[in-house]
Amino acid sequence: MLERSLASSPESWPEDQFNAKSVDELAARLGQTELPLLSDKVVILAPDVAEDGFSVALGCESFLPDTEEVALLVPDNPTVLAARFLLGPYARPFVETRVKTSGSGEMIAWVKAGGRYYFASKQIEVISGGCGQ
Amino acid sequence: MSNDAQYKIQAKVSARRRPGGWTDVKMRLPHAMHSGLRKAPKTGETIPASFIERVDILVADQTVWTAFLGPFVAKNPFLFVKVQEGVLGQKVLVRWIDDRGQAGQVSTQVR
Repeated sequence: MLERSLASSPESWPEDQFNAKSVDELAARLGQTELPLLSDKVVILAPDVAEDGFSVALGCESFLPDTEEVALLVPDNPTVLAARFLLGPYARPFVETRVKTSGSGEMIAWVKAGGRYYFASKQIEVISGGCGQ
Repeated sequence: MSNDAQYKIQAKVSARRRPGGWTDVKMRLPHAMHSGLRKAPKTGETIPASFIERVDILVADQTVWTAFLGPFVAKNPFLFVKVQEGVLGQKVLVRWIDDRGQAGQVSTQVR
């Protein structure tokens, strides 16, 4: 019964987006027509140095009005989209999770607000990569 | 599969009201989150991808967050989201489903 109620929800798991192998490919599959804008109202939450590539804290807080969606990207992974969060009514735009990464590199947070995408990014150092993941 | 069993944890969720006018909702969900790249140490065979695809977070029966996860979210996914306001005692329900249709749910109250 639970499975049925999930399956009938408005949006199903976006396979094409999670299969995107580059940031540009993902941008196209998310329907972005312009490059995301760098915004100081988007704060990416990631450590400067992570010890273990199997579990790296990655999050995002948005201070933009009308935030609709947050996407967390690890561009160095075989598929770049780690997770996408859709805000419903009463959601406060803050998310955090843990991701796997093969080594040091850039982390990106995309925020969709008022129909437009904004971003923040951070270079992090990973001491022991989650190789093979 | 026996390998998965040793990583099995209990699903946990907490919902804490904060003085600033929001509620912190934190959860840990039991799943191996195989990326499809790792090889089994003993057999050398690639372990096929298997991961939680979708998590819905409901407060007082209303969907507040929907998260789509991919195979590169870490094992036993930890999620932390915030919810505006939140009334003490309100029910918080987290339900998830993986790529094989395995579903689960866990609930708590705003404290």
